[in-house]
Amino acid sequence: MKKFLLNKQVRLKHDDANDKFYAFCVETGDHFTLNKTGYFILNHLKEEKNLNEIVTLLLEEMIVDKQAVLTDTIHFLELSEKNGIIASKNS
Amino acid sequence: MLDDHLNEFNYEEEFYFQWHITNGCNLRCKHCYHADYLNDSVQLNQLLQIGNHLCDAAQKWGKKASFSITGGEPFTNPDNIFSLLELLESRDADKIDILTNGTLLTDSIIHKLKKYKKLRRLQLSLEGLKETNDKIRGVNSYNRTIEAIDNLKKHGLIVSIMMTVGKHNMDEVIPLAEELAKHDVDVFIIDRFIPEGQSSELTEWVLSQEEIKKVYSRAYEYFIKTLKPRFLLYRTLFCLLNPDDPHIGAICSVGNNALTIMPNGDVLPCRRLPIKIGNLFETTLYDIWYMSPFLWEIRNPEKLKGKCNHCEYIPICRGCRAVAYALQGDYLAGDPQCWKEK
Repeated sequence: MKKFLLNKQVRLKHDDANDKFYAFCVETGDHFTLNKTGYFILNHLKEEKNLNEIVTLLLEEMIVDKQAVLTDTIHFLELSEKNGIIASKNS
Repeated sequence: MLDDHLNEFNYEEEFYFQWHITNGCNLRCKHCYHADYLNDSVQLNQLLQIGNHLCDAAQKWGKKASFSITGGEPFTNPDNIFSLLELLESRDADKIDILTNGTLLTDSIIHKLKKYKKLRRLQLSLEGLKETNDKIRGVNSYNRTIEAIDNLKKHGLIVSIMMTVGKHNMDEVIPLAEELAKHDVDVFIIDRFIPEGQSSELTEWVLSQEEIKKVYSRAYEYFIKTLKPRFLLYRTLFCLLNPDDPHIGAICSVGNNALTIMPNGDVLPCRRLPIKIGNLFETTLYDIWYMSPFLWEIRNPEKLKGKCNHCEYIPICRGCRAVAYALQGDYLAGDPQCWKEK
């Protein structure tokens, strides 16, 4: 199963003052605004995880429909990979 | 009142870099914010590398890159200046100012400067009329600066003069402005004296709240009635004189749209706020701008203390963080020279 990892050049930031969440690539300067869940996922991807592990973490954290979490997480991971925030490899 | 096209304050669209390319200087001004004059400049290829990076960053952020290139005295190495001008022109920098003491500007240098379209103006400094100026900047420096002004104007270049104002020269702001008008100086800038670097012991020069109010009020009156030289009043506290006039006052740029680069690559939030927040030979500007805890803290207006805390002028002022740091030892403290009653 595919494993995901936060790109080494990406830094995560929670701006407490405005309760906003960001991912910054300190190499290219690209910057992304996240929601709380996106930040939660990326923060856990500082260590390699597969889709099931991420979904399990999310379900532990919030009361939501499992299928919806799965669909949204797949979409978020695809988008994050496309934008160079995370990388994946087959384990 | 000024036409809108003369309004230079472009907070939303611009990113400003004050870039000190050398510490080396041929003068020893009493009030200088430099702590030493060791010429620890980096090599030209490293300067160009930094220049490219700064342009990349401004472009990435969708901002116009505005540069003040200075030192020390930047013309101690004219080859470096001209190489940088070539680079910044080719990288489509929005505007470039050179901050110089003017004493090394030969005819040949001035002639070469004329070809750079992005070179907005040369900024020289005077600290009052001749006697006062020469006590601070050295014997005969007033005459040398006036000569440099006349020479630059003769070649059609735009000239601004910076005056750092304290108790020692506060009564000479308007007389100097009148004198500069005779020499066709385009722009006159005044800034508050801050005791740091060479001048850290000169605390007796610091203006009181009432004195700064008086100086700023006189400058504003002059600004309204004459356009020659044009006063640039984009500084914190000026908004107190007329909050509805968009041509005066400015929010402190620290953490918002400006950074200072030192000769060794160190990055400061402002040249007058000597707190290192990174080094461009160790990390990227992006890393510094996005992740510096200092910058995140200072961006948060809730953190401001004293008079600045919850002041209604926070969106257009924030007080000067460098003055707060120099005089109170706390960059989040209320601006100690603010005359507004809380």
